[in-house]
Amino acid sequence: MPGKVAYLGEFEQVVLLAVVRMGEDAYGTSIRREIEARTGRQVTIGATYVTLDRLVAKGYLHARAGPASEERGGRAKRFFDVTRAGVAALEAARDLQTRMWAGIRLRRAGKV
Amino acid sequence: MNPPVLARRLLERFLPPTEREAIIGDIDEEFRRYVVPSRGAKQARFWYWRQAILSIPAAMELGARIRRRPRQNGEERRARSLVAGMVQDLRYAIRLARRDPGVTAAAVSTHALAIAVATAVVTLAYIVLLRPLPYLAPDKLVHFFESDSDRPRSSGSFSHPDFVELRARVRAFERVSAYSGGSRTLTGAGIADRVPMTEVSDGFFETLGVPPLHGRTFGPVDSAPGAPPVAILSHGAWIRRFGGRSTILEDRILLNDVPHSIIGVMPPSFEFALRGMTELWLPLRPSRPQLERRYWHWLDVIGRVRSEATMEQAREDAIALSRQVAIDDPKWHAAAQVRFEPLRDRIVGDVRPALLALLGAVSLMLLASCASVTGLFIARWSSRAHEMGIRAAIGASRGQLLRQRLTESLLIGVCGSVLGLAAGHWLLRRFVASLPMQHRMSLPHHEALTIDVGTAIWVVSLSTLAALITGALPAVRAARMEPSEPLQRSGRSSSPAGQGKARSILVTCQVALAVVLLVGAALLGRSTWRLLQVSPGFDTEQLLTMRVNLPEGRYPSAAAEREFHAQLLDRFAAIPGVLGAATINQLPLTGRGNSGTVSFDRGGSPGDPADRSVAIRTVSPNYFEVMGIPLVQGRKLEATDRDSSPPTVVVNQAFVRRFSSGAQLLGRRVMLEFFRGNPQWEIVGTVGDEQFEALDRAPVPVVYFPFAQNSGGAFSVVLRTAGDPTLLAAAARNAIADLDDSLPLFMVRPMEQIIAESEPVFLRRQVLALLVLFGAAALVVSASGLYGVLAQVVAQQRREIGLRLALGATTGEVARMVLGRGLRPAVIGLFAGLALASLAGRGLRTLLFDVSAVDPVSMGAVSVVLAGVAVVSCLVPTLRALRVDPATALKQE
Repeated sequence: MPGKVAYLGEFEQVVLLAVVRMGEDAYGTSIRREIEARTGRQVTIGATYVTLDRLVAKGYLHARAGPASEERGGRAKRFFDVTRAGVAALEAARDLQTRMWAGIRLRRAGKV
Repeated sequence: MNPPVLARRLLERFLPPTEREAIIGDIDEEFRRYVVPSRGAKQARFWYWRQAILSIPAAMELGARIRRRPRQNGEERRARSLVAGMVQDLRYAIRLARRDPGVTAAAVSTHALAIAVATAVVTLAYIVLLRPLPYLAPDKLVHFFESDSDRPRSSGSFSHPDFVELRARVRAFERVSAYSGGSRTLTGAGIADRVPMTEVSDGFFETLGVPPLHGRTFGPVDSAPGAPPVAILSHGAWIRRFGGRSTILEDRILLNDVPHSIIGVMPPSFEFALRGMTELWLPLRPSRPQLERRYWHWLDVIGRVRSEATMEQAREDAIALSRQVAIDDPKWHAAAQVRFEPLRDRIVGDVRPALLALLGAVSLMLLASCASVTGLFIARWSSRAHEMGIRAAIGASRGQLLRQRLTESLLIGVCGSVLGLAAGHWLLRRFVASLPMQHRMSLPHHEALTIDVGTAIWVVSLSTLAALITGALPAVRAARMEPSEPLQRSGRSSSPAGQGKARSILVTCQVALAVVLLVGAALLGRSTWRLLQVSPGFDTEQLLTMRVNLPEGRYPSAAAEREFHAQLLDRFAAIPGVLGAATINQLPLTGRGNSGTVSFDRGGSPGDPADRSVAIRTVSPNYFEVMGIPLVQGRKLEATDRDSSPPTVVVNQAFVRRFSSGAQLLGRRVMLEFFRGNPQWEIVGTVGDEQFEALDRAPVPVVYFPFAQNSGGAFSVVLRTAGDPTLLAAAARNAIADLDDSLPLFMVRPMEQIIAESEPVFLRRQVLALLVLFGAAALVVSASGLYGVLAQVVAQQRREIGLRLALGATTGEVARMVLGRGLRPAVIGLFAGLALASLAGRGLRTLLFDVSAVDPVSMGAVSVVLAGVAVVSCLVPTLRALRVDPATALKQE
């Protein structure tokens, strides 16, 4: 349903893009580190998961269980994959931005 | 380098369980892989703490989001490990249990109650009936008994010559030892006290295979005439009476005023249940008459079969011996049979039927509780059928749903078992503590009648299994259901008709079990009542009894005994509140006691001397008046029947029935071997029968001698009192102390207590009390089951009821319809229960007295009670059905 897709929030978009960037290796730690590295923002793991969970609930991400490792204290990873709907939502967001940005040149000093 | 545990725990607390694994795993991984190497340990810990604390709001939000979601989807569930799944199931089960506290409490307490009684009864039965006796190779130990046509098995004791012969002849036995019980007056250790003792032949302790804790046991030399008097103490007596002092082996104690050296102390684990109260062990020292008289049966004999010999060989030995005894002594042992039984059978023979009856009742109780818990589960699950349907529809597998349900029943099972185990432990202690001393001490392992670890494990696993099975039946049923089935029905709480049927069947079972238990209780109740109705031949109320024992040293002659006896009766009679005081050498209902063989001066004596065995009693002249025993013929004993006057006796009705054969007995003279045929005693009167052995036996022939003509140093006093007999105990003690302050007055108790504690009454009462408890519990459970089923029926059929009412059915018709449905399981259960009860009644047969195992009165009474309870429990749902408003009922659909 392109066009009817609910708009992504800003952080949602960031998280979704990070998942795309990490490809097969998208899980909590890698996603969080990717965001911190690219945005320079401090993001807590908790906040990352809240958004990941919301994206899963919206159907943009798909969660699957991964292996456990010693570093993780034997706890299993949860990998995330972008779904087709997720791809569509990202495309819609980019299109929106592109359309809204088209022809705009911002002056340094605002009107106020 | 490990992450800070506290920080992790903190975060874990706030994270919803489903998210913990991934998130904690991530943060731990990052900590170890990236943060520690780049920033160092200290900084890394700071980082971890910061992550944890700052994630808390997010964690709470996650929790809220997940709680709002109905359930996780199937795929994710499957992804989780089995253990995590079980934990999840358990949490869910706990949540459900909390949401439904009434049902949960009912299920847990029903289960716990059943487990508690089962634990107590099974532990008791196991310890008493199965745990090996605390002796060396206990299965090689036997108890002998000698019987002939007249002496019933229960006495079965031996004369000393019989014992010597037995010991010499049986080759299959390693050791044969004799014992005989009694008591001694102990002075010098605290106040004068009468102490239970047992005389044993040498080698007695070796036969049992128990060495003494201190000192030595008896050797042949200790039994020799004229040997220095010696005694062995029980461990309890050593601790209680002598403070466990280590110098005890150098001490002497006064027994009946005779100094005895203590030569040994038995270990605390040593017990001899057949003489359970024994505190003192003395060597057997038969008197000259005891050594000589073959007809004086006063010894009990135990033996140890050689380890290489079989029981069969031992039995052949005993048979050969019987023949030999009959040949050697045709006068007294023509029909004698020497036999033996395992020592344990001798110890527990009387309580075995009671324990088996209790085990049976407990099994029924367990079944009833399982049925009621199953019923509760069916009810709970049928109310959740809709939810289950949804869960199945969104992808929960049948296995998962089944596992969830089994977890629920397991939770109930484990909680119930733990509670039940604790309650059972308490119950057993209470029960054991409530047993009168003489009954408790006559049980094997009486010091260790508690639940041990093995029993506990056994009980918990068994009851958990029971809970699983209980849960499995309805769970499997529910799991087989098509998921769409509950969804297609409209009401959320409606349940399939099949489950209503299942509940009906369960209620039928519950009713049947309740009926069996109640019939059992009724049969025993009637038996006990009938038993107490049996007149022991005297007036049992307001009668205080006690025992006096005159030491030979201070009362050396019959004259001294008679003088003391006369003074004592005067003193007692003068106590305010005492209506009369009399004595007898052995109280009624305390055993057969002394017996002898009677023969007559003329008209011949019936052939077999064994048939002429009679009980011998010595009484004060007013004994019959004080006891309320009627004179039937002739005269009673009088104060004028003195030492110097012609020897006279009175006999009872049983004696007349046995020996008169139509001829007049009054005025005839009897002789007793007991007195070596001399003198001849004239029968001057006959009195009513009084029961000496036990209420459930036939009265035996008795010859009563006047104390003045046949005195003895040991006798019981009976006081007829104006009020509560127990209030006069202190006055009685004072009266005797006035005469001789070193004489202990012992076994002071009302006659009614003797009756209540007598084995036939006591055992039945114990079993009866528990059966009443079980029966009442089962009745309550089945009543609530009936109510539940009918309430469900009414709820489901509101529409039908409404329709009928709308179409003109009268309330009477509707009431009949509803009641009919509710009462059907009750009626079927009742008949099934009566049928089962008539089978189960046979198991109780040994405990029944004068009541048939298929007693119509008991069954009728139970039927009436059950019908009443059934109608009452059906009443509320029926009334609810009658109040159905046709308009609303039809509109609802």
